[in-house]
Amino acid sequence: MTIARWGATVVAGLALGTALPSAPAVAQGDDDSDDGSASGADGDAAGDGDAKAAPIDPNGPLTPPPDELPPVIKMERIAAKGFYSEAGFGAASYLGSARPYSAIGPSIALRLGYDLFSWFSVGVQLAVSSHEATVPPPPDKEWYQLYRGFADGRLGGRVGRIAFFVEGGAGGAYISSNVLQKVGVLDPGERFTVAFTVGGGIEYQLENRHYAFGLAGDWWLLPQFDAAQGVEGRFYLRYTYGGS
Amino acid sequence: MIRIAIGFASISVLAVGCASDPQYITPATGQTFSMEYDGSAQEAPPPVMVQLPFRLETEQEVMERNELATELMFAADQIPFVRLEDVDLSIEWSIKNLNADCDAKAVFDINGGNQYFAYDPGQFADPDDPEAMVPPPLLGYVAPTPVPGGAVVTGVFREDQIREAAIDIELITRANVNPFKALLEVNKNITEMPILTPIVIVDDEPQPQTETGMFVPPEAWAQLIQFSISFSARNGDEVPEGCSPHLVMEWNFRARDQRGVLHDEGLDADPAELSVWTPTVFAPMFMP
Repeated sequence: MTIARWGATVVAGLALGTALPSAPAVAQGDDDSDDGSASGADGDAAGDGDAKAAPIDPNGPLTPPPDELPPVIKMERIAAKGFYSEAGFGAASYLGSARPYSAIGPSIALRLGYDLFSWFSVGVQLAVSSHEATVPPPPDKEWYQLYRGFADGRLGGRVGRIAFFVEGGAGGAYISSNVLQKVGVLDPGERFTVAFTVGGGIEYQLENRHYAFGLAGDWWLLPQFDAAQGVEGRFYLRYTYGGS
Repeated sequence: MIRIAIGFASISVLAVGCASDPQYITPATGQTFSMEYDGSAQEAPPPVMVQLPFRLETEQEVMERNELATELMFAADQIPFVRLEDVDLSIEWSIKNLNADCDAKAVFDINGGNQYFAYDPGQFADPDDPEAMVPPPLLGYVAPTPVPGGAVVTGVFREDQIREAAIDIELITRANVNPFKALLEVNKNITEMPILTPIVIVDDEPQPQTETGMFVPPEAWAQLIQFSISFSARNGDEVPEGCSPHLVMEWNFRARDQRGVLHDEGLDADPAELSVWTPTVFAPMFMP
């Protein structure tokens, strides 16, 4: 259902909801206009035709018959499905034995994916985080970048406007300098490693079905970098190109 | 369109981030870049010499160097494999005072060489004259560096300082400039290097020099490929009786390899895969 059609339904429903209750009022108003008053006698007169009907309170709210009520519009959010991209920022940190040698650092991530089903998508994720090396000096106050790229799959579900997902993937990582070689995290000449990741997140669908934002967290493992592990948390904005 | 632009910008940021990534040249496995000065021994540690791990020159690079020599009308063997613009170097150091109760002052200087010549300030002092003035080192501090008791002091010789040192040694050796003049002036932004007549020192006095009309072209300026590091210390200004300085100096080299001339594995690389040079220690001509 397109947003235009959905909006038209809302407008029609609202219009119907105001028009139907007003119909008796108009008729009653006509009666009122005949004698120029809005007395209770008029109300009685209006009900004279059906002696068994409950008396109508002219000052009470007018309620249409149930079968004439407009349909209740469900307010759950519609999310587009198809190709999508995500851009996010957050922070990343090492865990375990590599943790003492690198400070928590800012990270940015870019993800491109495709929804095969409403509950499963595949994609590629590129992320980079920047860390201050906290190895014994020298060097001192030196920063490096850790680039990560994964091909991954994402399983998810939606409850109303909230979606949940878990994801996992494999890929590679590149470190911009060998500053961690001093502490044995890297071997001489080593800059690349295979990498694995798992994670999950929660996503909020905006009224515009193309947009959502969310919070995600990932754990990653870098086997060739002395099995260094890390976590990343990020806030992201998602745009789905698909129309269905 | 905006979304596409943002996408390209993001990818560009990731790609540009990889450019000129630094490589830390750390000691080979099992070795250290450190020197310990124990004042009670009354003897400074001997200088440590480090030659950086440059890979072998490829045939293609030899050919390109020969073509450059033809273009510059300069001898091919006078165009170095490791040129000034090929790699940006800096030296990061730390000094730890092992004696928590005694402040100390550290003194260190760094000399070095390119693939043609090495600079040793002592060579410019007349060996027969004990009062002869010795030129300053290529890199170092005029004032001693205070190191409070138990503290760690860190510092860095920046890329522009190493560049200055590399140009200075070219001026001193291949352009015959007086080392006092070369080292006490700022030369890192010069664009040409005229060659002077050789330095001749008569009775501890350098003789006047004239330009030869020849130049060392900027494309042939060499980067430093080796360093000699000396280190000593003395007590701080106000120390308790009986104190003697006990310091450890550590350092490493940080390189931004613009042409890929450094070996990826650094000093851990197979020696057969590394270039080896034996630069001549430059000395002026002394006349009685």
